[in-house]
Amino acid sequence: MTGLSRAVRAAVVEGGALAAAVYDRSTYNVIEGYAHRELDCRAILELLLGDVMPSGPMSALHGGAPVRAARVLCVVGAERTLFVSTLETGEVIVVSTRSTMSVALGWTLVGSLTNALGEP
Amino acid sequence: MKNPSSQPAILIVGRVADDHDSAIDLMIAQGMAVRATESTEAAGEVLAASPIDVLVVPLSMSGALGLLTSARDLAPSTRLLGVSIAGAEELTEAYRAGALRVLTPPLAAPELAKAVRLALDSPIGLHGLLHRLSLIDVLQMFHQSAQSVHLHLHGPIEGEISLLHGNLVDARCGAVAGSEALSALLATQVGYLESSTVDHERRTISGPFDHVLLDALRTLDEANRGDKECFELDDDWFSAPAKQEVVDRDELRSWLNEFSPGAGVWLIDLSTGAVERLDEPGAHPEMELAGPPGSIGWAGELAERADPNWTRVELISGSTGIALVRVRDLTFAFARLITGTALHRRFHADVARLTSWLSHHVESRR
Repeated sequence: MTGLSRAVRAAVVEGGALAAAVYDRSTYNVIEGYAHRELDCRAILELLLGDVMPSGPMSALHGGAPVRAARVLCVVGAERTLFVSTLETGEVIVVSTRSTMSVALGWTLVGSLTNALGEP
Repeated sequence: MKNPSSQPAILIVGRVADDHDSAIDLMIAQGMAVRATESTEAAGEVLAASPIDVLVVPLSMSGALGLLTSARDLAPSTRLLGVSIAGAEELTEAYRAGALRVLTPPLAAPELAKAVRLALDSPIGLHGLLHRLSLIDVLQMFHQSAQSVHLHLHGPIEGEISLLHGNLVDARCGAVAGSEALSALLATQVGYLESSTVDHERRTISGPFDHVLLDALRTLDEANRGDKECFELDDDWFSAPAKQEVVDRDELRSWLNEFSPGAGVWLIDLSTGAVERLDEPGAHPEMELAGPPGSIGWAGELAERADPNWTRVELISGSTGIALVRVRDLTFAFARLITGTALHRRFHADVARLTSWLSHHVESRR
């Protein structure tokens, strides 16, 4: 078990996340994940990373094609909160938590996965 | 092959202008060394044998596209101009073969000379047809690369803007010039933009680029607000009581000054694209924040994809942080510049604090 797989598992089992995964930014393939089958975040990643351009009324009126690679996204929903962080090394970290969980704790889990990516 | 002479060398194949001889005379008078050939084969030999800065060839001539293509290998530093009444397909082929521009006949001598000067002014750099650009994007791009360039804007609003070494020095829109003209041109939402060399010495604008642009945007915003206020007065002043604003703007400004100076707050409607800045009408943080209204739309679409019942979104892209917050049936956007990890954390904290403040504030005004 690698440091990354341990960290992904720990984010869910010990950290309280609903799911956690690390994706390859160019292929969207899962590098490592735990309980991640329900994440289904391909459409969000495509829009976030600029493979799909925004097309809603606000973007049509004011522009809005991403001018630079996005780094960090957090969406607090009715039941779940989604955290996404893109790394310069080409990975995308996605963590899903209950929306009752603190946003700061969610970012801490993302941070732990970022650190684990740097470990062997 | 580079031209060692200080005199630009122009090679013209066949007849490219209506007044062909006058065109050549004009270019010679402007200090260019002009050579002419009657065929594309002969032009290929000249290109291989001597340095040529600009090649002009009618696309209707036999072998013209082949000449453009081979010129990329024979003389990579030669800039290529085509002349044609070509259809879209032929134009595409010419551009793919390396033509900087394809000029449309009938072509007068000054027009040809101007196109050649533009080609000479572009020893490096890309040419092309782009879309989804705003005028502000283009001006900032040329400012950041300290370019000297003259922009012609065509469309519902026509005008010209000149930058010298990245600074705005002149703007014209109809009979208006200077900052007033720049404000009018910045109102442009759609149109066609064309660049050329700066061939005049008019100076109707002075001052640092950021200040000039910010002043012009402020003038534009004030004019728009004036129009809107007049419209509302005509329609509603006698029949309906003044509608209470959802946010007390003074209180919002105080909050921002204390907790997040430099940030902006908008009331938005993602379904229609309507945007209203609440904290400081008249100032445009687009300048500082690289286009929040567009990024706000992007953040909104991301949120809708993630969860249609979202309540809060935070999107950090480059040095811009955008947050959307739903309070009752209202959607607010918050944006600020972010640099460094410490400010990332502070942005998350600011958004949480603003969400709390807005919730209490909006509730108390109902």
